[in-house]
Amino acid sequence: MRETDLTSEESRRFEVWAFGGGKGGTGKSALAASVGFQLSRLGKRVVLVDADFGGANLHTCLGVAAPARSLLDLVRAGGTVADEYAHATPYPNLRLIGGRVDEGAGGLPVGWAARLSTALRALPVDLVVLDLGAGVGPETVEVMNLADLKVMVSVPEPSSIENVVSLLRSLCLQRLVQRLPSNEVRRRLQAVQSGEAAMRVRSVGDMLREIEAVDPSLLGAARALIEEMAITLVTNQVRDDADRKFGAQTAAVVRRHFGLPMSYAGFVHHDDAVWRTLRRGKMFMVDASRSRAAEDIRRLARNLLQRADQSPVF
Amino acid sequence: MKNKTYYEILGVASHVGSGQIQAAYRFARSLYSGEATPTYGLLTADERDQMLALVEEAYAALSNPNVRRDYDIHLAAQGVRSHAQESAPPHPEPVPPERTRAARVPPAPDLSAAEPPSEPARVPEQVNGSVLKALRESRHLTIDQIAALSKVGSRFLKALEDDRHDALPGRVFARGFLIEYARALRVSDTELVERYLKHWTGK
Repeated sequence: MRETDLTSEESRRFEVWAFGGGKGGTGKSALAASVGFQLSRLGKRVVLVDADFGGANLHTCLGVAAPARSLLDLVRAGGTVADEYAHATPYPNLRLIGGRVDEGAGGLPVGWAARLSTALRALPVDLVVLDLGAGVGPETVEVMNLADLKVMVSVPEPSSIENVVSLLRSLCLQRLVQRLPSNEVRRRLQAVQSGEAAMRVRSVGDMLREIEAVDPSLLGAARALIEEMAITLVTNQVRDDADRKFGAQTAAVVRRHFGLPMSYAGFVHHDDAVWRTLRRGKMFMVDASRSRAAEDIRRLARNLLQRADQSPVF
Repeated sequence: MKNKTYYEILGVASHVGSGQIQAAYRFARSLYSGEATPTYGLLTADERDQMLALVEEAYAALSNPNVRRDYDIHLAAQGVRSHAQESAPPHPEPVPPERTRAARVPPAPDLSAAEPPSEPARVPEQVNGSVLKALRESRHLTIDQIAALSKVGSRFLKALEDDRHDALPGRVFARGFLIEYARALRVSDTELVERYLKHWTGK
């Protein structure tokens, strides 16, 4: 298939995607940059957004300098017009709303997330790809909840999957707290976000039981809020056969034991070509376009566009 | 809350063939047998062991055509009830294994209402394995003939006659076997099942 062959549905859809995963060092920025690049090669007009407040370096993955005006500048200015913050890159169809590595997320104005959402959705593009920071801080979770597709990036290690599950839990709780029309339910769910109660409320089923205890009439709405979340998993830095099975196994465990319908989008091999090009400040999709990782990214971008679930079907 | 069925434990739809059951079983085994990285972060060693035991139990039941058929009959009856109550969540609930086991073998449904026996005959007030055997012999039938008529494995029929309840895969299966046994004997399945299960000592 030629790279420009997109179905009419794929060409038409506007979407915001977010790459997160809770753990640092899993390659979220490199993945977001390379998938964004690949989508632009497929003819999509793409804006990459560096939402790693305090650790912004998406520009480095693209091989460009830090932009003069950042995402935080946009948010702090209370702006709802993001186009002028989207800087050109050397690549056609691909622009960047960047960040500076020395700025933190403190002092965000009230209502910033809603304004950011408005600003991003007003961009004259086909896809916005957000790169999130590590951790499960409220700003990170809030930005991820803005996205139509939440891409969890994990490396095949137990600590990484723990962080993914922690982020999933925070995403669900925040979404339910923000959207369910009941102060009592909100208070109850906020109380279980941390502390001793956090151990009691681990899965979606536990959350639904908490809601049911306060107001059973909200159960249907709560289920719908969780069900409509599009979440998929990508395994990065895959080295062997066991690693290749990691993504499908993780998605199955999350579905079966966390109660969330997470799909599995695919994996990217560990590839020295990636760090060699990154070290030279280059984009590996260009400078190492024949590498195994670049091939994986091309397949992954296609899977993400098609929402293709790579989980085994029985 | 909905509890997991054998199909949900293996992660398959209820209409799949035996090949898919086997593939799903191998996948589920790989999840909980300690070889899979993801389960370390999410499940304790005890939870993994319990899930593994459930996976084995589910596969033992669903890989046996006779047992699976009886289980499906039970699920169908359950399905009618759960629709009426509209209690099923959109996705399988994460149920701790210790709760799952008890819930998976619920009070058995009354299947007799759906299909009454064609020629009900008198069933003794007290029914145990010896009574089953006596009824069978009074009709000059062997265990193998009952097995052929009922499509229930002869070892299960023998276990029923010997009152070896632990040798049967569970109360709900025993109920299914007894219904078939009763029909093969042309006696009232309702009475036979109810009276036999009064003395049930198995799981």
